[in-house]
Amino acid sequence: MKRYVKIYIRLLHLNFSSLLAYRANFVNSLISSSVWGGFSIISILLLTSRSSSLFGWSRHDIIFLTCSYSIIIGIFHTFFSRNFEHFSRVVDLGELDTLLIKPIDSQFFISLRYINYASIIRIVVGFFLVGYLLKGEALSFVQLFGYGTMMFFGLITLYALWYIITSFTIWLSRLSNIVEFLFTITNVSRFPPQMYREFSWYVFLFLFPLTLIIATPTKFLINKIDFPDVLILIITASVLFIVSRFFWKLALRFYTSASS
Amino acid sequence: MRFIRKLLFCYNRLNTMSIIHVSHLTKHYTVYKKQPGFFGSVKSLVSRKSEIVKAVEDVSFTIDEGELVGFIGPNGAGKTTTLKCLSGLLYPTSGKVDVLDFTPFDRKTPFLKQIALVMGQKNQLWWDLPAMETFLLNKEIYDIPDARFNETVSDLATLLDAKDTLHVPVRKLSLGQRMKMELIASLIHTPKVMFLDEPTIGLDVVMQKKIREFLKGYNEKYKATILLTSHYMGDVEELCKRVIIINFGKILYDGLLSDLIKKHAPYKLISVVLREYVDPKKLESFGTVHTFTFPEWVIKVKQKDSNDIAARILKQLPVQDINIEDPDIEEVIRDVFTKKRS
Amino acid sequence: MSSRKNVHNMRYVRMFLLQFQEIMVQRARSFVWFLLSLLNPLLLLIFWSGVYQQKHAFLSDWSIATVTSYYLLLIIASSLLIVHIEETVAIIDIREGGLVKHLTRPFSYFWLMFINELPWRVFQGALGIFVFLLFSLLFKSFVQLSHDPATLIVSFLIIILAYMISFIFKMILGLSAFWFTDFWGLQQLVEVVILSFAGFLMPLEFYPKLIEQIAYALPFSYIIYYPIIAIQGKLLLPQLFQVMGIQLMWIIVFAVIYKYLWRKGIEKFVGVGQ
Repeated sequence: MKRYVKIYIRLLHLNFSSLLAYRANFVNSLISSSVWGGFSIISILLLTSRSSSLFGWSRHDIIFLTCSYSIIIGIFHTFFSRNFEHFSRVVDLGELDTLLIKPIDSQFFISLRYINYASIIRIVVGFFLVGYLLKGEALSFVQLFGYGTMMFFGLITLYALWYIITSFTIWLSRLSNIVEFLFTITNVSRFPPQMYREFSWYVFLFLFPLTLIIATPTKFLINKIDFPDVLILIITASVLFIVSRFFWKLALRFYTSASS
Repeated sequence: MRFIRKLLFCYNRLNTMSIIHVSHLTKHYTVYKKQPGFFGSVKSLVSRKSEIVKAVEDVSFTIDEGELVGFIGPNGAGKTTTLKCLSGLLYPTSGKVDVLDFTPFDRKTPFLKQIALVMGQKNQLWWDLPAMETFLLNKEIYDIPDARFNETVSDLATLLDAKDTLHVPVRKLSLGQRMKMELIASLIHTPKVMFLDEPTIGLDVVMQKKIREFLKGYNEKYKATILLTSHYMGDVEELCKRVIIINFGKILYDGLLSDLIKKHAPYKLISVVLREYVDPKKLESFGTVHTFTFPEWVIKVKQKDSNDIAARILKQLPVQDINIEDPDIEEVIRDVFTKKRS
Repeated sequence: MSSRKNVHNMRYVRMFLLQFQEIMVQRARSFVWFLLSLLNPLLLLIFWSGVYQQKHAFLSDWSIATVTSYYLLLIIASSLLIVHIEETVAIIDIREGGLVKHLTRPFSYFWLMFINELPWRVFQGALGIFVFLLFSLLFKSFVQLSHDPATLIVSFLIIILAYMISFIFKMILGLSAFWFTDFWGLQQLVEVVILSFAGFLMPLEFYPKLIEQIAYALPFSYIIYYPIIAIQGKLLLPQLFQVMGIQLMWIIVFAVIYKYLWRKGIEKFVGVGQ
């Protein structure tokens, strides 16, 4: 709806003004993002330093995977992460009441209120590295379109997973550090899905959605995409998103019956 | 058949004249208890005792458009819970709530666009930015056209005497200034119904007066229905013609404040400053002595006799100054609590 | 005189127990913290088991069993030996001024924080040991520890010294809030440095030579890496004593830095009136 677009544009403004008003915070975030971005790339380089191929992916492809991770996680951290970090305070400090009183979808507002512009650096670095690795090789339109679309669905999947797990803090408000847990478990997506499948089917099934979010888009870049991959990601994203909405409505029902 | 339909129609019309209609509202919570100490904590790993708190018990009342009603009670009486049920934040255990012909709990957009809930310490202003930025965000959320927005901000800022702090970052404002900004942010959509939970808590005397004046002015100008909770008598005295007294989740009194005084404390206080010393025994003949510390003397007399007795005092005693006062509302209300409990 | 000291010591014991109580209250939270130190080593284990499927040995004396033991011990090491006191010091005490109430008390701030942190580490470490024991029962062949009593005793001492280095270092990091407004940025930077050079990613021997040398020169390898390989029995007795020597050196260096920064910091704190 047009109203939501206007609200979001206003939020983009507010977050940017906030950034200018509190520059120390921005510098902190910039250091954080750069440092973690660098680490996620270098750690993969070190881990794969003695192998030319692993889990059916060449080292070159695994590095592409890591660059995609940088881009996609960069987007996620820019638009979503801060909101998840803020989530426990929303519940604990009664901000949720202030939110529910407003004529706006609470999931929308909680998920998108804060924007961390500093994480854009990870997106930029990721893109540069991808460009460098392609060594001037041009990508076809299908590849680019596929990459963009799969990136979108990957983000939806990751968002839905985070939202479902974070919603638990409405019941268990002490678990505010569950966000830290989510940051850590998202690392699962940095590795090829085959790695989990080779290790154990149970582990693979358990971590299934996470293994797709970076790998499937990257497959477009390295031209190893299969149509089933695309379909599976789209279905996973849609199902998880619907579940996240349903679960949130459930959490709100609990909150509005039990809060004092 | 036509007669019944007419009856229903009249009944409906009666209901729609009232903006807020609460009928047998009940709200119970389950609270978990843990035993103190180290072993209590270990025990709580396995089992927890639960207890039901009856926050609101069979509460019913009706409020018409434009009324300014005070909800009084001590802490834990059920005021905030009732307010939350009225604004849709809590799901009632049983009973019916109607506000502006909506069921608050459905939290429909047209309903939310017409109400406001202001709770003392909770804030919605962005800390690092001027309050105006938050107003602009709310403008988009409530879908307010530019012209109306500018007009409302200007009006509210004038009423609150806050025009110069609109563009100052919120973290640089004093508590009082921040409260003003919070109020404007909550009222930017000129709601028809306002719920205020302890609006003057934590504020200094000057600020309290300012806020009360503002609420009175707002109520008159916008014909908004205001329901406020407070345990400050000042709020009640200055703002509310009608009060609802609540304790332990039950309504103890619902009616005009003046009637409350007439019914429960039909007396007046005459305070006198004497020019010369008078034997206390002589003073007792006029009425019940409330306090006597020479030269000040306060007696309690029946409301209808107050003028006559005052005239007699002026004639018979060496009086320097005399004053007839209403009883302290706080005392009156405290009496209501203690009477109802016994 | 001695009875006063007894009362004094009893207070420390009581504080220790009080923290444990707090852990029980926050048991769900504590468990989530533990999960964090569990996840990354497990993830890397999955990685290495895949790598080892393809080749027979990555490095000559690191079999899949040795690598598995390494990461399992890493779970214990990261929950037991990585201290998280810097946030309390920097934010609650310095930034928000909670330090004031500690200055008027007859306890040393350093030891107070030490007593406050220890129960959390013990609790998390115990969970780590539990996971380790569980794994050893289920997969006996994959667990490799030293059986030599002398090695184990000296390794135990190495673990204690490792904890001290970790604690003093994090206290210093917390004190940086006296001068830095950018504490979070610095803290994240330090966290990544520790992750890179303490042996969290992989055994330091697997690093390219240059990076390996840098890691040995920094104190972080003495908090995580050396205790682990000591317990694994990869070091001979003289080498173990060498490790202890270097650990003691780092403890002394950090203690001196801490004392100096504490004095300077308090001067600034009290002088400015925060």
